[in-house]
Amino acid sequence: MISRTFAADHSAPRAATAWLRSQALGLSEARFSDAELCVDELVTNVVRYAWPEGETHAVTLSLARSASEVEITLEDDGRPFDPNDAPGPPAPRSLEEAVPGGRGLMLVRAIAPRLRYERRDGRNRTTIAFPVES
Amino acid sequence: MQLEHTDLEDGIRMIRLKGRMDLEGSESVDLKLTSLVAVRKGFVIVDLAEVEFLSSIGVSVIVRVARALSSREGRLVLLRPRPNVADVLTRTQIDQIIPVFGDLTAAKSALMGTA
Repeated sequence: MISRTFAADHSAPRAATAWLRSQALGLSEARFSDAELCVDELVTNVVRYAWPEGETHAVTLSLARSASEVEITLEDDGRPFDPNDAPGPPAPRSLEEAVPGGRGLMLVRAIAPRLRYERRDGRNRTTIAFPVES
Repeated sequence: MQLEHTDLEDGIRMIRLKGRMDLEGSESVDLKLTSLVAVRKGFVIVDLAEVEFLSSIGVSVIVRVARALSSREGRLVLLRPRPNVADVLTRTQIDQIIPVFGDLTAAKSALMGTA
């Protein structure tokens, strides 16, 4: 397993996805796009909501590859938050009624084949996994 | 993220976005994009051809400016998203409320048809 820690500021989603791209994950292009989007959304969510405004924190990304899948774990010491529980906005029926935000975790739940959350030792651990090409 | 705009001869404003529309990228163009569509009865094409990545934050910026424009009797359409960007528009169902076109002629016709 390899991991990298990023300062939890507004540059973190880009830094995290750039690091992900630099790793030989063995995912197809389409699967990599899905993984990249999920990591971006999860890191963005942590950066924006995990801590009170103005505090300095970090978020750690870990990668583990088995013969069948790539597992990506995001860890932070922010407030307890299970991404499985966050409701997304209803499907928009018209532009006038559309809620602009709130679709990030909805995307992650729709895309990630596996999404697991646990709270351990005061830290959030969110794991997503994607199958590698056989 | 870069943003440039051109006013076409038929009164349509073309806005070209370039780069990653993630948290950092969306924040860097939000204000300029908002001010460029702050017109009455404006018709705007947002060209996404050079947008290499779109996250939900970028989607929320697009929805917000499209709504603002619509409330002032204008209209916004999206042009030429790359496959990964088009996927995000489909998965969030934003393509159901903001028209997406593959070519400029179709985008222009759609806007002029509503004028």
